[in-house]
Order: sequence, then C-alpha cells, then structure tokens
Amino acid sequence: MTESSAVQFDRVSVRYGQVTALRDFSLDVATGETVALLGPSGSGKSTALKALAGFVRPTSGRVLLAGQDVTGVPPHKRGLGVVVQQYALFPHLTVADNIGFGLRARRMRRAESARRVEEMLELVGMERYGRRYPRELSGGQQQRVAIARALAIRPPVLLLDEPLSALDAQLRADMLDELRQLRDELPDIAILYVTHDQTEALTLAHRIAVMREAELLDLDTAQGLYRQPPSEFTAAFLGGANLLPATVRDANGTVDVGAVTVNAMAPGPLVPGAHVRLAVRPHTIGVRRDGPGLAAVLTGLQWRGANYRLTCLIAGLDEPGGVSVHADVPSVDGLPRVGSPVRVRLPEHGAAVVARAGAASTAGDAGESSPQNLAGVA
Amino acid sequence: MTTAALAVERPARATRVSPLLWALPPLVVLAGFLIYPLVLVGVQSVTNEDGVRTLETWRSVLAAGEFHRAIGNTVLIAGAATAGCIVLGTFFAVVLALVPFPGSGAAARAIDTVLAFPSFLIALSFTFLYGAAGVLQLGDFLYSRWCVILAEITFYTPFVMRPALAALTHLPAERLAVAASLGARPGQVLRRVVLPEIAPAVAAGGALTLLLTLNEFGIVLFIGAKDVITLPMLVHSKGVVTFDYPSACVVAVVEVALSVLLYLLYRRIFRRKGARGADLVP
Amino acid sequence: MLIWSRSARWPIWALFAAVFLVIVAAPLAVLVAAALATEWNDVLPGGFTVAHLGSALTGENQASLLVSLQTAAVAGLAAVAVGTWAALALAAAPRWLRKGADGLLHLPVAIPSVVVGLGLLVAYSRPPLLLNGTRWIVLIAHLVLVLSFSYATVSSALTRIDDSYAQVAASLGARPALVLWRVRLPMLLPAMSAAAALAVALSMGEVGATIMVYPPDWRTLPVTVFTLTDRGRTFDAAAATLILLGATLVALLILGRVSRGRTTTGVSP
Repeated sequence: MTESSAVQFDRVSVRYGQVTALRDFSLDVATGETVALLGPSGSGKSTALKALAGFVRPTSGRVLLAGQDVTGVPPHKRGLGVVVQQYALFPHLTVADNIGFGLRARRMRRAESARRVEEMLELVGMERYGRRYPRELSGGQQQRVAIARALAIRPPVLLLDEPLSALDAQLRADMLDELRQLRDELPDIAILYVTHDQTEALTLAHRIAVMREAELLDLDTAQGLYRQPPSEFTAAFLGGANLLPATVRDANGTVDVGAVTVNAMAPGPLVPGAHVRLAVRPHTIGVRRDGPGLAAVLTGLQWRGANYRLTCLIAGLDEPGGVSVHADVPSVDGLPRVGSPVRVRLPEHGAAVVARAGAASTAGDAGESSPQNLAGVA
Repeated sequence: MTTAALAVERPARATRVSPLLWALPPLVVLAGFLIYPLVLVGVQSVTNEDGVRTLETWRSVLAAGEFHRAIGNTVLIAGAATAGCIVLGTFFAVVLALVPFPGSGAAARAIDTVLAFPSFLIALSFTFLYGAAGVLQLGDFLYSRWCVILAEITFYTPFVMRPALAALTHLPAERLAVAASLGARPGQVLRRVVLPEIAPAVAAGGALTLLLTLNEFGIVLFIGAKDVITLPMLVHSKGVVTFDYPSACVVAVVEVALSVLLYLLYRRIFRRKGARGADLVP
Repeated sequence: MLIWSRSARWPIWALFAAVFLVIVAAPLAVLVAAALATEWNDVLPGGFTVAHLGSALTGENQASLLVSLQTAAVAGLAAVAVGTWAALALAAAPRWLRKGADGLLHLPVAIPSVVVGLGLLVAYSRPPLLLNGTRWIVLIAHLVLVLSFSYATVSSALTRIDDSYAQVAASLGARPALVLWRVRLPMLLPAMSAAAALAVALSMGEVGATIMVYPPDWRTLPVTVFTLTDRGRTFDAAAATLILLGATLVALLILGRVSRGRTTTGVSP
C-alpha cells in the first residue's frame, strides 16, 4: 500500500519540548476508506491529524499524500479538507462565504464558485441558509456548514477532528447517521476521523486505529477489533469488555475460568496450561439466582431503561479480593437483591482470548505502556 | 497534490526567521520613542550644562528639602489614595453585585465612565466644590494634600471596582445561598466567602492604582496647591518652568526607578497568578 | 443575594447613595453647572449663561479643540496599527521574545507621562532628529502613552481567538497574507475599535506629557484648559472641559458606529 494510499504516516513522531505527543506513528489510509483514530484524550490522535494537516511539524518521520512527501509543506498547499472540534466557522462571513472561502483562496471565478457553493449547500441540506451568519445556526447546522466548507475544495482527503463532540446526545445520534450517509456518497475520498467515542468509530470507520499514550496500539477492521480485541486496553475501551483471568485448556481456544469451561475465540494456537485473559462483553453475560455458573455476589444494580447493569463480584479466580464483572441484563422482574449470592454464566461462544496484556482494565486508565506478548499465545 | 510537490522544505526555514523580523517594527517604534529618550534622561542626569560628566546635580538635588518633601508627598498621597480606592471600590462592587437595586447597572456604568475622563476634570470641579468661593466654602481644604487624595480616590476607584466586579460575576450565587443556608450571617458570608474570592482581583487593581497614583500629574497640577509638590510636579517645574534639564532628569530617574520597580513587582505577582480583570484593558 | 431581608438592605443602599453622590455625581454635576454659571460665590451658582460655552467654541479654544481631535485621531490610529501589528507579530514569535517584548510594550503604563515628555524633549532637541518645537513631538508623546493600552486590548482579544480559525483557513488554501486579511484582522476588528476608542479617550485628556513638549502652534485643549485655570478663568475652563468631554463622547460614538457597521461579529461560542 504505497502508491495507492491516499494518506501515509511513516514513523511520525511529534515532540513539544519534553512531551512526546505522538511516537513512531505509521498508518496508511486508502482512497475511499474511512479510518477512525480512537483513543482517550491525550492519546495523540489529534496530534496525528494536525501533523497530517500541517498544523504541527513532525519532529521525525514523514507524512505522504498520494505517495508524495508533504512533511515540510505548509497547510495551505496541502489541499486537505479539515473539520475541527468547534467548527471554527468564520463569524464575520455568511454561510455561503464560509463555504466559498477555499474557492476564493484558489481564485476560482465568481460564477463557478457560486455554483459550487450551491452544490455544497445542497449536499448538506442547507440550501436556504446561505445568507445567514454562523451564530444564527444551531450546533448541528454549524457542523454541516463546516463539512460543506471542507468539501467545497474537493479534497482527496477529509479530516474530521471530534466533529460531534460539541453536540448534545440526541443530535449526535442524528448527525452520526448523516455522516454515515455522507461517507457513502463520497467514494473517492479518504476520511480520517478522530474521536474518543467508540460508537462513532464503530459506526463510521472501515478500520479503527486505537491510540494510547501517543502510540498506535491496535489497528484492524471495526468488527475484527470488537470480536477479537488484540489487547486488554482495546477490549475495555471498545465495548467495555470484562477481563477475566483464565487458564488455557487446549490450543483451539478452550479455557477454564475457575470451575467453568468456555470455548473462546483465540488469535492463534494457545499453549495449554498458560494463564490468559478472557474478554467477555457485558451483554453476553447472564446472571441467575442459582443454577450453573461462577459463584458470585451481586454488589451493584443500576437501572438503565432498556436494561439493568449488574455488578457482580466473583470470588476466587486466583485474584485476591475476587474479580468484579459487569453484566447487562434485560429489564425483567425477579432480579436478585444487592448483597445476595448469584451465579454468573459466561457465554458458550463469543468470548475472546486477549493476546496482549500491558493495559489497564478500564478505558482511559493509564497502565504500564509497553504491550507484551502473553505466554499463552504461541 | 501536484502543487504540494513544488514546495518541499523551503517554507520551513522562512518561518523560523520571519517571526523575529515581523516583531521588529513595533519594537523599533518603542525603542526610538521611549527607550532611547529614557536612556538620554539617564545620561543627562549625570551631565552638567557644559557637557561634563558629573554627579554634582545628583548631589544637589538629593540634598534639597523640596525633593524630600516631594518624595514624602508622592508616597503619602499615592498610599492614602490607593487605600481609599480599595475600600471604596470593594464597597461599590459588593453593593452593585450582591445587593443590587433598580438602577445599579446605570450606577456601575456611571462609575465606569469616569475612566474615560481626563483626571484633571475632577480637580477642576473640586475647585468649585471645595474652593474658598465654592459650594461648600471649606477655606483652605482645596490646597491641602487631603483634597488631592480625595480627588485621586474619586478618579481611581473604578480601577479597583472593575476587577472586583468582574471577580464577583464569577462567584456563583449558589455559593452565597449555601453559605447562608448553613447559618452564616451576611457579615460572615462577606468575610469568609466573598472577600477571599475577590481579594486577588482587588489586590491587582490596588497595585495598578498605586502605580498610577504615584505617577499622577493632572490632578496635582490643576489643584495647584503650592505646598503639595509631588515628584511629577517637580519634573515639570524643573523641566519646563526653570529649564533645569539635568535636575529634572535626576528627579525623573528616581521616579522611573520607583515606578518600574513597582511595575515589575506587579507583573511578577499578578501575571503568574493570572489575576485577570486587573489587566490594563478596561 | 448577600443580604436576604429587605429592611436590612436600605441602610446599605443609603450609604451607597451618599458615597456615590459625593464621589461620582457631585464632581460631574458641579462641572456642568460651572460651565453654565455666570458667577458662583454661594452654595448655588448666581445665574446661568451659555457665554462660556460659546467662547470655548471660538478663537483659540476652538483651535485647541481641533488640535486635540487631530492629535487623538492620528495618535489613536497609529497606536492601533502599531499595537495590532505587535500583538500579531508577537503571537507567532518565540517565547523569550514574546515575554520580553510584552513587558516592554506595557512599560509606558509605568512611566509617568511627565517623564515621557521630558525624555522626548531631551532626546529630540538635539541631532540626529530635531523634533522639539514641532507638532510631531506631541503626536509621538501621545502615541507612546496610548500604545500600551491599544496593544493590551488587541493582544488579549487575540489570545481569546482560537488558533483553529487560522488553521482551517490555511487548510482551505489561504496563504498567510490572505489568512491575515480575511480571517484574523476581521475577527480582531471589534478589539481594534475598542482599542481605538480607548486611545482616543486617553489622548483627548492627556496633559502630563503634552504640557512638557507642546509648541505654541499645537496646543491641545487640556493644556488650554490649564492656562485658563491658571489665569483664574475657571468658568471658561469648565466650559472648555465640557466641550472636551462632548467631543470625546461624539468621537467614541462614531467609532462604535463604524465598528458595528462594518461587522456584526460576536465570536461564536
């Protein structure tokens, strides 16, 4: 993927004085592909985007666009479409002038530029708003204008930096739908989408790059990362998986969690007898008063409308103090009371053995940074 | 992307040099019109009328009684006026923000407008208010230090009130309500919740006021009291009344040293704490 | 909010009203009354006349008013230009230069205006540049004295404007010059007009430096007011001061109108 890549990061590092904001970052994005840079704040994802846009200069490494080195090229000669967090719509210009800004900077003829602006307004469904000023628009409308402004120059690459973070929850869901549609209407554009929200990444991205502490941690398709998280950090950050200590029973992925045996997905052949971590999604866990399963105590119960989130403390499992797991169960009656003993049932399938440790069990928690191979994976 | 290929590497060097060049013109203006004159003032203070380097002027100026009186007056007036401004500015801010009344907004604006006035206006109206032939017929009060102090308090109170008022608008009303609900009487709330909150802003405003009152000239000039000589007045009278440049320069150097010292202290304390509102920008 | 019972607020309001009257209202009211008074030897003026105002608008006084207006306009414009230039240039400068130059640009606040005037006298009464005796020395003095304020106003507005505006403009293909002209300056325009207003107000009322340096043919209104007071013509002085205030107010209103007409900027949240 060299000549065909729309975007290529080649071992890019960015340092501000003593602080390393991005370390040895390499990533290719193909034309027509959407890649999400997903990570908690301070993970380096925005820095990567800024290095690509030319807003910061890499301390080392190269940035390539369509195979050409643009590392030292100023932003105004890169021709990328950029949408930033707070949109940065120019307050003194109308919507139409905002969208036409890049065209005017390119000295496009007035008539042609007006036509292009109309086209863009139509694309984002803002035909009637051309003469308004940004402050007269709602947050969602401002975002549409920002996207139209970025697309007006017909960029080969579109960079979106947390474009939904300024919106409230309901609007965010609607705009996510719109962005998804827009993505499908733009088959010739490579999109780099920076976000800390796993739902946005899973909805929009073909591939997700999980960032942590200035480094690229995992890179795979959205489904791949979700089903078979390569690291504990990704397992927890993407979908909030529970991580349970397990012992490998055979190379195909059969593992023991305490007294329970589970057929899990494995990234490769496993070493029998090795200690590994099992990623189990909350919605796949069942909690019953009795019957088979791991013995536990219900320590928390939260009603969340569509379901309940239960917190259960499983005793034993070779961990002092036990292991706490989250389970999302449907709102049915007959729930056990907090403090009462329960049985935690792990899913027959769908759990995944995590290949690498070196990560905290919760998202955003800064654990030790170097990912290492577990002894369990051959 | 074809355009991108044309300009690799070159702009990087340009951006490293040009910020320095761009910053040069305004600094040249400042250097030519402020720094260079100040340096010459320093040089002039150690040069006598025949162009000979000597400390004679310093010796005679520093020994003169009028210089001592001027320093005493300057410091006393500035100190007293600043104290008055702090008390009054805090009082005005607290009343306007926390015990508002219909028209308090207009009152705040009226106090603010004083900032746009020349300071001598206050002195001029004082001649009618407190002069021997004026409204209150207070005899010699007009020509006393106290009158100068009162005039400076009138003029500089907004410099304290404004940052204090700004700090009070950041104080959430809930905090006062909570304090009251916990049983604190208004006096206690004022002392233990309100004043600590606005103290940095008041201090910053007060420091700026002290600096400005040390340098105040218009009020003293217009009131025209013969006994109330301050350092700026001395610079003026030696400079353009008796045309004794070397002596005027000596006084000016002393004054600049005093002010700049205070100014550096002010910047050091308040820039670091980031006490906004007390910035120069009204 | 602080005092919860209505009855307890009255004494505080009464105290406020009393202090406000003495400190703020009385000086202004007295000045207006004096400008219109025929004589004032009692508690109240003896009678009213517009003669003082009339004389303040004719002859030498009128000339002084024009001098003041021109000085304020030129010095204010120059100060806003230099201040804005400095704010923009220093925002991009390395840290050491920014800190040092920022301190230097604020320095005129700390220097007594009389000393600024004395310095200009000493420096420009000799070669290489002889400005003493010309109107330029007055203009320069005013520029130096208001520069700090206009620089501070613009640079504090600049720090409130997010970098991303300029970055996005650049990403859309705008060269630095175009970014400056089409994005940064328009967004700074409200601050620049505020800076101009402040500069004009300060310049119109300046005495300290002006009285040190003014040549006979370039006497500003405040200096004229002082000469009037010095000669005992206090009613004329009051009237001239009132005219000065009025002119300042009109200038500020025009400036406000200009900035509001040119842009309806409110930096979006």
